[in-house]
Amino acid sequence: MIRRFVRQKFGSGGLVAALTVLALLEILNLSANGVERGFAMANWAIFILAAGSVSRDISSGALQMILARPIRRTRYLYGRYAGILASYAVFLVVTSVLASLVVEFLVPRSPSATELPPDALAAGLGAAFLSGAFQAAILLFFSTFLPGIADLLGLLLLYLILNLPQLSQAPWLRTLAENARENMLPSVEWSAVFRGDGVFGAATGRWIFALTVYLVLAAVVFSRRELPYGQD
Amino acid sequence: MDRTEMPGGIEGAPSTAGVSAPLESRAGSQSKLPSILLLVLAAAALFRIVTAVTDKGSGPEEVGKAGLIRWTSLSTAQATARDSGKPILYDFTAEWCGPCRMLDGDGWADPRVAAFVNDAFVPTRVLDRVREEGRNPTLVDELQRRYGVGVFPTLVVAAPDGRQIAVAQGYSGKQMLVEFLEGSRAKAAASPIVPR
Repeated sequence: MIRRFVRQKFGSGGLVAALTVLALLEILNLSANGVERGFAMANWAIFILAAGSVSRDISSGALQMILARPIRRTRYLYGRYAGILASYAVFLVVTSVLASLVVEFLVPRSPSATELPPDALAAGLGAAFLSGAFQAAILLFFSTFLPGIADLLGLLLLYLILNLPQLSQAPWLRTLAENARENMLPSVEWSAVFRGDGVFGAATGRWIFALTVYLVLAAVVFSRRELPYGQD
Repeated sequence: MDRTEMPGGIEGAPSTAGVSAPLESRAGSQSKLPSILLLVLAAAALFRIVTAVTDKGSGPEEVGKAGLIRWTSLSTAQATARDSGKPILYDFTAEWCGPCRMLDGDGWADPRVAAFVNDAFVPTRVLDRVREEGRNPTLVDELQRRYGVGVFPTLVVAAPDGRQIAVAQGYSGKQMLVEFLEGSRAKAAASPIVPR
């Protein structure tokens, strides 16, 4: 399933071109701004890789062919997820290595030049990967029941619904939204966790639980879904 | 039989050797959720509960269950501040420190002060453990160094990017505390947030 995902995604010229442009921007960003602000482009890569990961197979009819073999739907679903993560990991590693080479050999040496120390780069890369894994799980969940790339819209709506109440004047609404956001879109300071602080903290627990819930919900919805014939 | 499931039913090899199971049961087995999923979910829920309980019981941010403030975990304070755009209020404290207990019992326990703090800041506690354990966690050491904390309690208001906005040492009563908090909020509002 992972191989099939990679073949399918990287068989599309448009997607490869978009990822290449993003990788170049990411390398420039890392070289210019360092690790602190360097992985800002990585989120776009996960959107490109994960959007419509299941729904497109359903609408094209490819899923019916895949499920003609005796495999469980969950195996297909988590294969797609693993494919997304594997592609994303390759994207992050390649851009980080290239950015390190750019900083090492192409950027003129000066006191104000950006530095990319390996440990900070590895921590930033790990944080970007885990953040991407979470976004991908939400997109996978929405993709099991929303058509096309409407899963991106679902993710956007989820962020809006949980963040807009901050503008409200009603304290109860802000508190409600804060609690919902803490549990549905938990933030973890991964740099602190990688240093050993808060590994077993409440934030890490919330993050792992929310990720598991999205993945299990995706499996439940997908397993029970009636699959129409392809429309493409 | 759901016609959309037919391919799976026709080509799906029956698990029982040589016995052809009904098509519907084969289609059903394809959609069946593996039981390991439930186990993983249960394990994640257990981890969620245990971390929530242990973090509340012994975490530096919850020491003494100080007042009515909704303390944010130290490890997530900066991320929460970035998301919300609010400044961080660090309360550098220690278990042995008398004035810190006065601040907890008088300042943080006041409903008006607590409402103001919960609304205007991302409050987080930084508990010094040198006297009890001989050393502090790395993050606590780092924050104490960054803001030059030498006495307890020390309140530091910082922008989401870590820049110090205001600092107050010791506890001189509720009135001074309110003035400090209000002044810090005004300074934070006037100080542009550097985008990250």
